Amino acid sequence: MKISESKIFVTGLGIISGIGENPEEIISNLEANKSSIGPIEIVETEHKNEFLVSEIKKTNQQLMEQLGLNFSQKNEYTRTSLLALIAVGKAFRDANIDLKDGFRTGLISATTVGGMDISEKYYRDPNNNNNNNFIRTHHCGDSTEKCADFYGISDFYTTVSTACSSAANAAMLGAKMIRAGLLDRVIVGGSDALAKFTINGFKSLMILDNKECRPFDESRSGLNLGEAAAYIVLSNEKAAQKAKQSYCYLSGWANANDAYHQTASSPEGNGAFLAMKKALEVAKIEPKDVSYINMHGTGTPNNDLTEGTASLRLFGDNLPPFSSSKSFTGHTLAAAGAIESVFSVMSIKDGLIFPNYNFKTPIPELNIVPETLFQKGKNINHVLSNSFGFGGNSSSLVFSAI
Amino acid sequence: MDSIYINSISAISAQESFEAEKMPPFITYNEPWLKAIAPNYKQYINPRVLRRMSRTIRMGVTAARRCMLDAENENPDAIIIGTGLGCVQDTEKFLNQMIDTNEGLLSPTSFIQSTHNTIGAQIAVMLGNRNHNLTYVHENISFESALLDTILMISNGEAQNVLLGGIDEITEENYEIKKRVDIWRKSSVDNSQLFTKPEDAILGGEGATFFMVSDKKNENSFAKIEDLSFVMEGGTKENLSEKLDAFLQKNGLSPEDIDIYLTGVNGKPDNDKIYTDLSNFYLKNTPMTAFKHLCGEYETASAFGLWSASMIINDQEIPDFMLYKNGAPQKIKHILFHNQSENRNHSFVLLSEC
Repeated sequence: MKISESKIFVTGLGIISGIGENPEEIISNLEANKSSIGPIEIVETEHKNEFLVSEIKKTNQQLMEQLGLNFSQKNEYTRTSLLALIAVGKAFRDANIDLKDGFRTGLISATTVGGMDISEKYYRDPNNNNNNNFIRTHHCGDSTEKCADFYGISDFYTTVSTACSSAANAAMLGAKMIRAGLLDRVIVGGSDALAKFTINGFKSLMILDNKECRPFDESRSGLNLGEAAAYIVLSNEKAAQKAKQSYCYLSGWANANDAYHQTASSPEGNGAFLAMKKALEVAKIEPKDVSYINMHGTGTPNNDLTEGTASLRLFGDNLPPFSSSKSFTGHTLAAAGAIESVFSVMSIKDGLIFPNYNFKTPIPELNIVPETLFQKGKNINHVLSNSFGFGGNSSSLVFSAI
Repeated sequence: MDSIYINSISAISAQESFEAEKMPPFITYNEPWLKAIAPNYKQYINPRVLRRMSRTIRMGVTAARRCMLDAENENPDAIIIGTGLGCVQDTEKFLNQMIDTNEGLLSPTSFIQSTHNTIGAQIAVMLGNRNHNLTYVHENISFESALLDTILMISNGEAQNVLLGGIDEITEENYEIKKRVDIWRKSSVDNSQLFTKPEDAILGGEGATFFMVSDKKNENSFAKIEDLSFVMEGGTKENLSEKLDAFLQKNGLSPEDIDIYLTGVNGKPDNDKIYTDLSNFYLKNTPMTAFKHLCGEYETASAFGLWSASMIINDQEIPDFMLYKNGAPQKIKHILFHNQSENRNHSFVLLSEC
């Protein structure tokens, strides 16, 4: 298999999230410092009044109507699938994909909860035969295959699950498949719906904040969960010429493992450091070339400290402007890397730097200060986007101006 | 494609595959699903660590460790895993606790271990391995997706040795749930009669299978991986043959060069028809063979399929109990391994003797 070093163009974006359903809406919310984090309204959980989340304020029925699906099929579509279907469709249209034009098109999606939102309702209910469809929609590949079937993507599809770094790894595989000549364009990203399972899981780990999360702030005490689906379209040069636009390149990617603990990261941030360093190497740029870093920045004491430590190891005294967008979006798990890819692309396209909402006081051990103001008209050449997850999975992507 | 070799293999399955040096004799069962034979885990995992591991993690870590010991390499350049459902037991445990306590105070252990990437992560922690680490979770192509990433890593010069694995487990609860929707057979099955008494439901199975895949062959190499191809959407025998022909041609081969057509037949007629059709229409004289009566059907059963293909090509013989149609091969130079799920998500792996 011949692997080229050809350019990977980003030719489309699609998103559905608490902070907005299109780039314009999201930018206006970020500019107005309007976070999407608030009380739980849609998910049926005992913890409704206990934690704050970023929810998409649409019921499954409303999402199905948006897609033109008949609500009588409600048991066939998990919320993860519905969100994925909406966001993939948007990316598809934004890139102006015509599946009949002869270019080989793939879909690589990421999820951690899969169909859990339905499984957790019905699996202890053996007498209700009407709801047994959850057995077929539980696995992580279901949402990917639903999207592939709905939009007719049949050259290739697969699903990645590496906890909160999943979507970045989906983008990495997509880029590599284009360079290997296996695909001409590929829709990459992820989808995760909020589920009782994840709310209770993160609660049991005691890393949920019951107030708005505060990434990189001394007072940070946990994350807020969120739900979203986001996808970007990657194309080789020929396929990009057929697209409506090329926003930027995906120029660098890397995956490393922290090899320290299942849920905590090493004090030195080894995985994060290696992922960032290798991604810059793939992009063939130096640390000084990075214009902005969209941090993983979940707001947990452990993540922000170790990610900051790793960043200082790599960038030294020349840490570029950085921020975490999780205080706007919540931590959307497998979709996080995809949402933040969309943010990174928008940063390059419109010369934007996004604020780190809720930041007040630097972490004493680090003394680093994220961007706190929404900035326009900046000259953004390279954006580094970090996604780290349980199991030590650490991935970074680099987006570069054309 | 560049030269890519399978330099060591390891499988925990319902057969005596673990630590086997050649294709083991056929163990028959009369069970509703095929349970993997547990090896002596203590020989491979520190008992203190072992206690905290659920069954699938034990199987995965042990099969991985055996594979690395055989390869004499405990520092792979990448760890790439495929799993359909991940750690089912941990997922069920957390779900049950959550429901039983009505979202009360829960222990995080089973939640932590329920994430699909747990096995890859545990191997990384055990080895202190900070390299590329990925988990693919797409039904019957979970393992093949991991194999694709492996091939890309080696072809790109990013890795010389990749630890590649496929793992899935069945629990009692999982079996009962799947039985509700006619996915799995509802009563005991004699696995030696899986193909002679077909039914509209499958015989489930489980296992953990690992490979050390390398850019260089050595005296212990089992097989050379020539190529991998996917056909996602179902097709007729005509259009699948056309695609398969293009795949073989790309590798300088014709159907006559294929000595064994190893298939994922599982005893369910709807699933098996396309294999037989391809055999009748395209691979007319090639012995068609089977492996799922040995390990059962599961998302990453194809990893066990590749394990048996590696054994067969290395042994230069195929046991009679794997022959399905068209007799026995004259020689074993090229194996075409085909797996799919009810005529979609087809994967073709081409293996050569090395």
